[in-house]
Order: sequence, then C-alpha cells, then structure tokens
Amino acid sequence: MLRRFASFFLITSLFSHGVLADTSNDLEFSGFARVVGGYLSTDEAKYEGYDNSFSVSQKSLAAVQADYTFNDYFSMSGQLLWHSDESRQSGVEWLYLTYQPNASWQFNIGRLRTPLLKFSDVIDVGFAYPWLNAPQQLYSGYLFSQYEGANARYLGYYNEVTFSVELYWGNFDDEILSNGTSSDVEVDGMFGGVIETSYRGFQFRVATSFANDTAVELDELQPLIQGLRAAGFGDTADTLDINGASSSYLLGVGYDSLNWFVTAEIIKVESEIDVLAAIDSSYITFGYYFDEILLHATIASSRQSLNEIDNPIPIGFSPELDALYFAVEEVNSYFPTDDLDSLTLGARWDFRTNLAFKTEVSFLKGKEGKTSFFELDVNNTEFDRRATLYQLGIEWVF
Amino acid sequence: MRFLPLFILTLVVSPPKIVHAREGVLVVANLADSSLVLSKSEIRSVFMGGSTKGLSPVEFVPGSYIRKVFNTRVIGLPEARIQSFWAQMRFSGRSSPPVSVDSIDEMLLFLAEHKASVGYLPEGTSLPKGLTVIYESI
Repeated sequence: MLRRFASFFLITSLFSHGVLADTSNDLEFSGFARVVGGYLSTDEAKYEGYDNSFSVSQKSLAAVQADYTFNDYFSMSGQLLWHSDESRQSGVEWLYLTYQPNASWQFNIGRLRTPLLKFSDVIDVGFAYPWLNAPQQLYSGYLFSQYEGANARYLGYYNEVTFSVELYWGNFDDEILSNGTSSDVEVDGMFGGVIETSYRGFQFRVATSFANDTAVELDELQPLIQGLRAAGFGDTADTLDINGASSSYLLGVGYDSLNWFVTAEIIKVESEIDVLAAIDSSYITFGYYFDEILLHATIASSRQSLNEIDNPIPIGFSPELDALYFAVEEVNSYFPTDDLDSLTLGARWDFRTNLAFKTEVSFLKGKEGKTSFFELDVNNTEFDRRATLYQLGIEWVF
Repeated sequence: MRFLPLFILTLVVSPPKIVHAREGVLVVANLADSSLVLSKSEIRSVFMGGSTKGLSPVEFVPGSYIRKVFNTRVIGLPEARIQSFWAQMRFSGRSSPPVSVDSIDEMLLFLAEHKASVGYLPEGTSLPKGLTVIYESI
C-alpha cells in the first residue's frame, strides 16, 4: 500500500512542479489523478471495497499520458496508471499507434480500452463524468475493460447531425474481480462497434460487444470438477466449465444544455456459459448547474438471472457423494447474483478549470439471498442488503 | 452518518449564480471563399470535436469573458461541462481541444496567419481584410 501511494505522490508532485510539463511540440505529457475517500454504513459487508471505516485506498489513482507526434498522419500514445486499489493492476493502461489520414478517419492499434458504455474508456478519469462512483450496476468489472487489438473510427455529418462509427477487434487476457474473488479471464476474438449521433444538445448511442471464446479459470473449482467426473456426473462437471460466448448490447440517450443535462444508459449482457447469467442494467442521471456547481441525482438498477446448476447427486448413500452434493450446492451460491437498486445524490464543484471537488451519497438496496454487488457471505441472512455509501473526492487533470 | 452534515453543507454553501451573457459574438474565419455561412449547430460541432468542415478552431483561454459569452450563446454548455468533455476526448485518444489564445489581438494575429482557421470575437470588433464572418449570434 505504501509503495502504491509513493507512486501516486511521485507522479503528482512531478507534475505540480512542472518537471513533466510539455517538453516539445512533438512530445506532450498530460495526466489525471483523483483522491477519493469513502465510508459504508454497515459492517456486515463491503461494497466497492469500502467498509464501515473511512478509506481512501479504493478509488484513488494517478496516471500520466505521453503523446508523441511523428508527422501529420502518425502518432503514438501511452498511459501509465497507478491505482491505490490492490485488486487493480497498475502499469501500462494504454499503448497504441494512431494513423489519422484525414479529419474523418482514425485507426489505432495496440492496447486500448473497450468503448462500450459512454464512459467505459475513461472510467479512471473521474474528471470526465459527474459521479465519484459511476453506476456500479453497469460500470462494474464484469465487462472486459481493455483489449489488445485495433479499432477504426469514422466521424461524419449530415446537415446538423454529427455521427461517429467505431469498430474494434482484439483479445483480452486479465484478472476480473467479482464478489471479492479474482479469476483469470481470457477472451480470444472480442469485437464490437459503437455508433454515436448528436443533434444540437441531443445524443444517441448504440454499442455492441461480442466475446466469442471466453475462458475463465477458477482454480478453486478444479478439484470439484475432477471429483464429479470421477463419480460419473460428467454433465454436472460440464456446467462448471466456464467456456463460451457472451454478448452485450447498449443503448444510451442524453441531452445537454447550458443549465441542465439528462443521460441514461441501458445494457443487456447475455452469455451461453451455463453458470453465468443474463444481466439487465440501467441508470438515469439528471443534473442541474448552478454556475460552477453541479447537483445531480442518479437512479440505477440491475437484474441478473442466474442459471441454477442441476444437482443430481443423491445424498445419504456415502460420505463421498454427500460431500460432492454439498460442494455443488456451495458452488450454486458462489456465483454472484447482483440485483441492486440504488439512488445516488451528488454535488460537483469545478473550483478550477482542471480541478473538481465532488461529494456523493448512494443509498443501496439489494435483495436478500443475493450478493447485490456486496462482498459478503451470500448465506448471511442477518444483513438486509441495504447500506449507504458516503464519498468525498478531488479530481484533477493536467 | 457523520458525512451527511458535510454533504448537506456542500449543497447549501456557494449560492447559485447564473450568468446572463447578453453580448453578441462573431465567428470569423480566414477563408478564400467569403460566402461561407454556418449554422449555430455547425459552429458548435467545429469547436466541440465534431465535424470541422475543413476549419481549424482557435478559442480563448478558460476564464476569459468572451469565452463565457461564446459558451453561453453558441456552444450552449457551461465551462465545467466543456472541460469534462475535453478530458474524455483527450484521455480516450479521440481528439484534443482547440488551440487557445489570451487576447483579442492574439486572436486576430492567429487568424490572419493561419489559412482555414476559425475563431470568435466580440460583436463590433473591426475586422482586418481576409477575415470573413461565418456566424453571428443574435
């Protein structure tokens, strides 16, 4: 933890003293940082890493981006990110080569961030969006946040309508944290597209993402899978083998004006993997500006339908079969069931053009018997899945 | 619960202050074709990373009064929202904000020296030869 914060202070102090300021016309440095503290009202569970003691080590981060322009057509960008959350990997977040033959076309190749939701590719840049914590029901770690591959973007217009089309393809190989457990996820052949249009203050966005061959390695399950096969329950073992395709569909709408904005997104995630599930999530945010102060309210919801694993193992015949039966039952409760409704009220004060102070409170209402994005023992019946998250933070871009 | 009072305090301090920019603004470009006229939404697109129509935008630095007038009368977004937008564009690798200048003299000089550049000026500014008004806010 100390090393993580040392990195954070090193990068921010270098910038504050101008050491990494623009060095030439061809090479430019920029960056962003955030310090976020939070407190959860319950001691029965954690949410987003927060518990009922104040902590600044869940969402704080700092990043530096270098952009080098070779000529009018080619440039290279890299972004190094240090995250205070130990479950997030620090290091190279972006590294890509850009070819821009004209103002309409742009091609990138390298390590890129997946652009599914409106703020997916800038989720670490808190200055870019109103909340401290983007709606967890959509912006959680389920989705493949980055990929190694290529994308193509086209920007065009027709009368007063501006539109952009982006297509991308790549592979993903990383750890995903869910319900406090991390798993190695490998995706061969991930592709998708985004179409955005804007007309005056209105925006409309549709996006899709397909992952053809998703392989999740959960080492904890391997002994059980082998035991099931040895006992002749191959079909049950197959349902625990997490390999298959998944697809996501997003629809977003918004309106921006001088004094207020409204934005909403709805996402549907489908999976052919037996034990994973379909997820439907959505949010709507309304914000009103009082000069440099923005007040906003967000209602968000998610519903996850989980496929129950069929447990055909008879009990009472032998201790070994009983153990297998209860192990399958345990697994049934292992996978997250993230049904959650939330109301977030927040304020953002842009007291400098590159500094913003934010505060927000989120009222969380999950469902009993479900994980509801909390880190908890799913069999915990004492906790009613209701909690309040308080957060304060500062966002900085430089 | 101990943060609730602080949260409420944040909401009630700094009383609302709404800007009413009544002044007009001219959008001018260095063009060979002096017949070009753009609509308000086309100007907004040029200055907000959308379709550029072959023009290179130049703007005033944040905090300047003419920029506030332009944001209010033409872009239709508060400065904070514009800064958020450019943070998103820059750190997602899509585009960068326009070049910015500090004063009206600098703006006139920049426009005069760069073909196909487009900027904005207070209504009533006397324009040198070679600059064309392509939009005038009402």
